[in-house]
Amino acid sequence: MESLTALKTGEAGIVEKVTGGRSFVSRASAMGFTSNVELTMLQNFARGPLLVFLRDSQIALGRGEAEKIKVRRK
Amino acid sequence: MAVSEKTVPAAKTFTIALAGQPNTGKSTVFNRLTGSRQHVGNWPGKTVEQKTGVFDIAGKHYSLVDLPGTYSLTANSLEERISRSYILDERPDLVIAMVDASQLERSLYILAELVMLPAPVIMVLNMMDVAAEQERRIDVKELEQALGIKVVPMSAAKNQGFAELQAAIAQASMGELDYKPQKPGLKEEHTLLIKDLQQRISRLIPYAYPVDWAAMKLLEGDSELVETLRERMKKDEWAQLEAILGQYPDGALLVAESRFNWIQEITAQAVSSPERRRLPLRSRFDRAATHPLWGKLIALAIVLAAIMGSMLVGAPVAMGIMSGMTLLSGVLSKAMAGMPAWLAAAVVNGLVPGLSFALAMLAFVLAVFLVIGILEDVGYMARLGYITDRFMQRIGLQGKAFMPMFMSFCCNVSGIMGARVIDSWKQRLIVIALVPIIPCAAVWGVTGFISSIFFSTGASIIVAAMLVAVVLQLALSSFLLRRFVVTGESGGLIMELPPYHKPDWKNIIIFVWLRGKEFVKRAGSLIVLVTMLIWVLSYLPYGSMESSYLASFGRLLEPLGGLMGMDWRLIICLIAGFVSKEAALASMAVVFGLGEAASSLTAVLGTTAEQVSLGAYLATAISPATALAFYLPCCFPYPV
Ligand SMILES: Nc1nc2c(ncn2[C@@H]2O[C@H](COP(=O)(O)OP(=O)(O)OP(=O)(O)O)[C@@H](O)[C@H]2O)c(=O)[nH]1
Ligand SMILES: [Mg+2]
Repeated sequence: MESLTALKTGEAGIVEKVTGGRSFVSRASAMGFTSNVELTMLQNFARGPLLVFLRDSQIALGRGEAEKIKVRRK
Repeated sequence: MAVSEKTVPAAKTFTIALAGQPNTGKSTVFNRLTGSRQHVGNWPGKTVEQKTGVFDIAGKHYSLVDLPGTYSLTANSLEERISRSYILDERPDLVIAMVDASQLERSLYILAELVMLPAPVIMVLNMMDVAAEQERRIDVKELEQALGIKVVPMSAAKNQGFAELQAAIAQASMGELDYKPQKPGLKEEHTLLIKDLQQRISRLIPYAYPVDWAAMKLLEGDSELVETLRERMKKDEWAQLEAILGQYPDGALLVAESRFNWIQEITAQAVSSPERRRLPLRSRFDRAATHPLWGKLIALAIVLAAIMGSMLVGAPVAMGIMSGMTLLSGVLSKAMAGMPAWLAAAVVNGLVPGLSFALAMLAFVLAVFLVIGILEDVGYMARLGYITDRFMQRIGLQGKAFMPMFMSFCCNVSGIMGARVIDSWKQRLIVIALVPIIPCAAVWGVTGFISSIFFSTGASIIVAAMLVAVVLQLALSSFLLRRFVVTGESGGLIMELPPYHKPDWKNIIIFVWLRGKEFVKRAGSLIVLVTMLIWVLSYLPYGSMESSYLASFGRLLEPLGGLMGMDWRLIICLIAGFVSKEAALASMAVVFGLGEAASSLTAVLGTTAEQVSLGAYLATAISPATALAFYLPCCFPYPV
């Protein structure tokens, strides 16, 4: 299990867990980050926010937020 | 009292609420249903915009409320609280749930919440045209059956589906629509837990809250509900409840999962390509627009082009209005020759310059709103937030703050309203505190206008230089705020980049029209009032400006203003600027005497060389223009 930040551009993964405070979990899950959902990293440069594709949507995440989302590589 | 208070209530208008996630087309549907019969205000006591409107179907009157777009109905943000308390407490007769067919799974999430609430729901399946492009086939009948609610497929931007929607609304208003919604439940292993929670809270939750919904919200850790229960429960009861909830730190995730499972069941049969597309069709432009380097260049180019573009559109119109008004005042002063001198003077020297400046300003304001309306509607604004995130982090803010900041360039009020996209309370506070630093369209109007007079072609450079100055000042203020006032960690970024859409001119025009109307109402009347007041003060008691009350007051302050190189006339304008930035310019017209002078402000300033004229003053440096932006805090960003 690793953080979402570990996925490189183009790599796919499956969400295992969303950690962090209740308010973050609630926001992230409403936007589609729940266990077992598949996602693809659209953009992950060494710095700056990430861009992820899941449930037909493009979601931008700060690196700090992405750290809280745990994934398994596909 | 003899008469019973329970008289028959007057037939209430059938009230409909539009709910849905952001960018599902709520405003598009709202605009097309109500046309120009809409009203923009604020939710009582909140800085969130409230749009209401009315429309008729077959002679029957309906009223429509556009709820803020939110991803869920948990009390994480102001918008979510507003949306759900509207549905629970105001009890609309019908809720229209907007769902995006091209992002079906995710946008159904809010429906999973809405069907738990007491108001009946019909679903609009919007963006069917986009879904068709994706070759996604959706069986509407099947979906209706699985959901137990009416589903209306639409392509709102293409005007498709409105007849069906209106028919469904009419049916619903006559009670002819079946409403037997399928409700999402938790996994079986949690049914006991939910039952237990329900029992514990059923007598304590607010009357309007359905107990099964409240139990789920509690498990999600809904802050509002937790607060209410903590207050209302006995100490030991609350301790027990807290212990139970403590066993489910993942409550929010469990509930969200159950909703997505419900969605999967519902869509399994109705959607013909249920397996998700692995990758979006990202256009070349979008790749560039989100690239760390190219994206920034594109953003910079677009922002500069937007600001200068609106100047280019606004300036000639404003100049035209000004010279038209000068002509008019010439004609008027001849026509009014027979009337009392004070009346003619009031009209020619007070009212006409005041009005003409208000109008000239309106040209700039509309131009800026037009540009912003287009960027927003097309979907570029979110990219701007994403691409500026790192830069904004550097001045202690997040990318989401860029949009409200950018909007503040058009109007501080809309910037403060736009701060709603920021989900961290602290960030929102900082942004709201910073916004008034940003010169709004009116100031850009003032500076654009003045600099186009004095620098003609160089005006754009002046405007660009001011932009840099503003950014530097923002960075400094943000640093100070975070250091000394709003301390603590700053919230992070999580936001959707919506798919691009062709600009919808109807939406944009309504957007510009409504803002323009607001400007006229608020600023226009103020400008005219202030100019009239200033004129009166400059006319009394002897009918000449040099010996007027205004002059003596201004001269009183002259030693102070002298430090900044201003004479008494500029001081007066500065004071007017405290009321509103536009008023500063308008009063300039009165004080420097637009009506009396031959052709234009330039000529006026040229002839008043015996004092430090504004022209000479401005020509020496850019700083005065900047000073104007910095020192004229506009009072209306704080209506609430
Ligand atoms: N292709 C297509 N585009 C649409 C349709 N309906 C709306 N749009 C576009 O989608 C974008 C978003 O629409 P809005 O009406 O602003 O969405 P909203 O739900 O009000 O969004 P928020 O106010 O941000 O919550 C606009 O660019 C619309 O022109 C549709 O049926 N088909
Ligand atoms: Mg809208």
